[in-house]
Amino acid sequence: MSHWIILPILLPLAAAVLLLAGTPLGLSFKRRVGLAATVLLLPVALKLLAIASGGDVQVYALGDWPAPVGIVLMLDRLSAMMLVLTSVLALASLLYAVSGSDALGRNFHALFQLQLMGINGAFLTGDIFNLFVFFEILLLASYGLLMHGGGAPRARAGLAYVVLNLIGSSVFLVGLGLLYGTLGTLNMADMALQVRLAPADDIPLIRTAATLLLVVFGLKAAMLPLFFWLPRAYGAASAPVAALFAIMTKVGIYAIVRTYNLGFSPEAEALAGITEPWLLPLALLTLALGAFGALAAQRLVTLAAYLVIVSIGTLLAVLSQFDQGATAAALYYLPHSTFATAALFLLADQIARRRAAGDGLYPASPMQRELVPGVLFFVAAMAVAGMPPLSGFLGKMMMLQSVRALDGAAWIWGTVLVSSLLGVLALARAGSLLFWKTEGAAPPASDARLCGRGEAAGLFVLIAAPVLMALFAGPLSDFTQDVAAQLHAPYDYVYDVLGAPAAVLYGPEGK
Amino acid sequence: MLLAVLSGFLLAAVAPWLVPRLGAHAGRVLALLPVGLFLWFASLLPAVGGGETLLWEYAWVPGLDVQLGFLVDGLSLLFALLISGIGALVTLYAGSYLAGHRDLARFFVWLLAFMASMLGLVLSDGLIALFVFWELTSITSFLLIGFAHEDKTARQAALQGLFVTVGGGLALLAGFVLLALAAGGWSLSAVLDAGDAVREHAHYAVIAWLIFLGAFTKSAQVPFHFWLPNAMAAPTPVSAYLHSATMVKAGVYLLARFQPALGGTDLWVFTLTLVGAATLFTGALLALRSSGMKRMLAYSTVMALGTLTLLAGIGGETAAIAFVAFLLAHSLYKGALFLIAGVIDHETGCREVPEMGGFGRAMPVSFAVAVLAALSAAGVMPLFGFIAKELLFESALGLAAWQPVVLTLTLAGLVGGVAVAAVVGLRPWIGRPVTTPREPHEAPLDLLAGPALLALLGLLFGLLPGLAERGLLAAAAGAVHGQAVTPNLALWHGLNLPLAMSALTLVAGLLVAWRWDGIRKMLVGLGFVERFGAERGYDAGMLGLVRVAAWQTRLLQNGHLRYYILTTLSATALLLVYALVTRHAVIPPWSSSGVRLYEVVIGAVVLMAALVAVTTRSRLGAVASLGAAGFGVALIYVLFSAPDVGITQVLIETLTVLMLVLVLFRLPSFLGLTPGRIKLRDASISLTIGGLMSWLLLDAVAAHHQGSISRYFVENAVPAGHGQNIVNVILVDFRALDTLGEIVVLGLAAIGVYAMIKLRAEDRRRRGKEEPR
Repeated sequence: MSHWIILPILLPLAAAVLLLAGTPLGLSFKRRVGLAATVLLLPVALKLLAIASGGDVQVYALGDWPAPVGIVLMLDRLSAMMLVLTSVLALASLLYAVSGSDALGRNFHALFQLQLMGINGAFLTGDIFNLFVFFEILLLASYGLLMHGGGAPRARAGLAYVVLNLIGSSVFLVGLGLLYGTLGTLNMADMALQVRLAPADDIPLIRTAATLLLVVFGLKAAMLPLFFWLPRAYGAASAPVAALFAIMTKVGIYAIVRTYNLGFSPEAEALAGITEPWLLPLALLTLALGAFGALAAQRLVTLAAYLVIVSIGTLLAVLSQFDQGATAAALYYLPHSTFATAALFLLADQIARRRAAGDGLYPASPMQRELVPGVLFFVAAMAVAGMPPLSGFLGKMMMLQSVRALDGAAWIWGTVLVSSLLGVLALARAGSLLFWKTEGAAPPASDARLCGRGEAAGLFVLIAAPVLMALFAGPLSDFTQDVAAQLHAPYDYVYDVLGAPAAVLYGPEGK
Repeated sequence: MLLAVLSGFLLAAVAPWLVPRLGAHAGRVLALLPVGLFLWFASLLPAVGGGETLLWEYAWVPGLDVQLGFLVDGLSLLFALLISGIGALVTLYAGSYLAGHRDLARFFVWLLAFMASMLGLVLSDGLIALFVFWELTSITSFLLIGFAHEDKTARQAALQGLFVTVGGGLALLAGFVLLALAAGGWSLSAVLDAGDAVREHAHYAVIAWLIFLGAFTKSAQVPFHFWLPNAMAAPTPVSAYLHSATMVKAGVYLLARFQPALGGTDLWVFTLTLVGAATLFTGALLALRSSGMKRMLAYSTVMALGTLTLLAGIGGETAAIAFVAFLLAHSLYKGALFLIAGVIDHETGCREVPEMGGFGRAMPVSFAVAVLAALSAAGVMPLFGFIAKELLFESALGLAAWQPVVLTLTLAGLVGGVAVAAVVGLRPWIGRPVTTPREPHEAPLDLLAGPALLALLGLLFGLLPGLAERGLLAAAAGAVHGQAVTPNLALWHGLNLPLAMSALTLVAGLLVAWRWDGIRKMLVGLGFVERFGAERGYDAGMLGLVRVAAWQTRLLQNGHLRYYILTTLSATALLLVYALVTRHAVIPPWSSSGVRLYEVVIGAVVLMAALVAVTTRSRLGAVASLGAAGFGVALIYVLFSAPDVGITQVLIETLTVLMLVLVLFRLPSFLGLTPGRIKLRDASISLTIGGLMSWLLLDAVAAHHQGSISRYFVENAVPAGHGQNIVNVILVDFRALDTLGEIVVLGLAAIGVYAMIKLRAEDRRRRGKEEPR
């Protein structure tokens, strides 16, 4: 049992406590502590990735209570991958924030660290009630971060965000109650086991509970018709917060992948047919409406927010097939879309600063020093739209190829390709309005620094990511193949968590 | 090889730094790269001409079986030579044409990037790499068309071109994936080897149509022809390079490339010959209808692309030879004519053909070049265009199905083609000199070198066809045909039907050119072209798309939280019902035995309180009844032997009610504005959700336990946890991480509330400072 596993939770928590206690020491202290903790998170995540890539599921029993009873953290390839993704994204966002936007409100840094704690915890926990707790942490922290900077639009968007997510929380609780009532356990591996052993009388309740959980995760992931909170919330958040939020929807995706590949897999007799008829159509509708929303967006941040929805729809559509190859492809696309949309959020902030009209998508006087934002926008737009040669294209390509033989292939292909076209159109239109369609003379160039050093660094990290992901597509896609293989061998997971005797009950496969 | 393809991108990357330092020599220096590439490709000629196919491979995404492979055979070498050769001339030309332009560096970045993409496109062996470069050409072309971005038409044309070509590109991607699956490999070599398997594949028709879509959009075939003339908003060198000689040929390259694998079927021949012939005819008609010189040339390019599609569709040895010959001839003369159009614009300021005349005296060299190129375009002996045209007729005559239709359209189109060539080749130069925005004068050498060289090559290849044939065209035609061919290009094939047809088009074309002004007016009068044209369809589609997008955003993102909640809850209810109804699962009814009277009473009180809370008009009343419901719940806890939980609940309820009262007592009472209909809707959804949840929970309590972890807690609280209060042991020991998490949640809430209060206070202070009272 390696103690490394709990560090991604403890490190941000300790940093947050230190930050709250050190409030009198001022902003520069907070920046140093926050940056130090976030920088440290990266090697920790990488170390965990190295541990996980061995292929065995690592179990960390808190308080040393045995697995089904106490809470366990567990680390497999997927968790490790998500942790690395989070730490890179967090570092980029925080670098951007320390250039000034962290001073807009109080306790930005503490909230930021607690947010990381919530996200990391959600990726690590092997206990479904504990997942609920981490969801609460990240919800409240994100609410605090969303309100960072204040103002009426933020308050309004924040209200919708928090109310809808609280509804989600109550649904989650009801679902947990049902599961605990019928299965008598909260440990995910044990649940997987108990679902298979459930008597026929309990099956309707288990199915209902599984559906409720899917509703909650769908809400987190912003799936149609549960995505209302997203565009405004992201549009209202300050740039580094919106960039960090790019991972939040992916937490929902992660939870679906985790629980449905493990416990509620449609392969389990009790849950057969529970998602097939509606998950794919909803995912495709999400995708289509996201693309239309992008086309109608009036601001660049709103456009980026809708592109987040597009990426969610794409991922859900592919993941809804519960196919190993498709999962591997989607898991390559997931980090790509996270980085690319986050980059777009930061860029929108940079562009808004240089234009009299902010990031509004209508003609205005030309922006100051447009060369660098122009080039970056071009790269980010290519990445988000999935145009070659960046990783978005490769991801889409892999996904299309992986689903070709499955039932939903024609629908997925058609919708993904057509909405790609709409996405390209929306981005080209935005670029044309922001950089080309100018009226009047440029404002007098001010000598003020438009882009802080930290901001440049954060932006650079996020823009470089899709490029690097394309260059190293070979090893990365090999890795996501391994991740998917591990996900689709839930027997091994149950074995590693519960031990051989319990796992024997799970299924016919032997380890 | 990788370096050859990527060198364009590398040079493009340093161009912003390089161009300002080179000043007026920028074009000349940058042209050295394409010249070098041209020479390098030319050095491959002997091997390829000998029938070899050269292959380079580099790994990229091995997991996906994606390689960066480069394949050089006759066809790709012909294209590579055209791209690098004309690229060199255009770069040189652009350096002078756009001298002093403030965005010159940006222009070269995109031009070089485009050239590299185009080289990658024609040299790629892997389908994925081919697609990557394909889309890159669309993007660089978008940026080049929108180069003059202050101009609205340029922006619109750029977007239009992007939309059409990227849309086709996505169809192509789908086609490629299916093709690779049918052929069992991701490389061109694999596809070409698996021709029979592909043609007999169940998805053949889908594959062919998807690839057609890609090729037709890129090569501006009917009904996607409209974007090409609009793309003339680009600077002239770009028009000459992208929109005549290279990019638009990507589509026909694809058709020619896949002909050995996909061609020969009825679907292939039928679609391509008809679409090709229709495009040929439409292009000629629209060219005669236009007045701008570049626009006329653009439509005549559409015409040429139709011809090439037609030839790719016909198939067979003669058509393959005709294809490569026409391709070469067209690239040479059209490049020259476009560059001359740019020269006229640059030196006289004129763009409309009817406003031109008499420039020949001031610009004799340009005149000569224009005439030479126009003769080739019209297919006059002894230029290379003549040979190409003869071969075209010969191929069309060999067509088995639909021959009359195709022949008629082809002949009519070529009459128009001759007329266009005559108009642009003669009209500006002869006749009375007209007054022009700028005094006409001869262009500098940099501007003339390109068109002159291209036009002279047209003459040279016409006089000595063997020169082009032996090294290159034979190999290229072989690649198109799929097996070795022995062309025998010659000016004189004897008195035969093709010669007669050639003569006929020449005479008729000259007549049309002579009467052009009248014919043009008549054609312009035919307004239906605009009303029902494909472009109109595109515009309407775009408008509809934007409207639908805006409408759905208004509808879904209406900003009303209550609708969001409504939708969320309805969706939840629907999915729940679905989960229950499938497999006809019915939840067993719970047992009502053992319920005591006082439990029923408390339950009724809680329900009543809830009912009052939603119906009362007084805010305080609502808060109070919510509190009553909460206290009822607390009582239930106490009765079911959980006094500690009950106490907590009482505390929380008291606090909540107090806080709500503090906040709310200043607000007016609720207004009864909601109509009954809506109340009914809301009530039914609330009751559905509430009812479902109650039912489920009651049932979960009654459910059979399979042995719960709670037994372990009971048994081990004292021996292992050392605590008498089992709840405490669970909270601080068994599940301590949950408790830690909830503490963090509370802390977060506190931080949030504190921040909001502080923010308000700061706001007030700031406002106070701004408006001192």
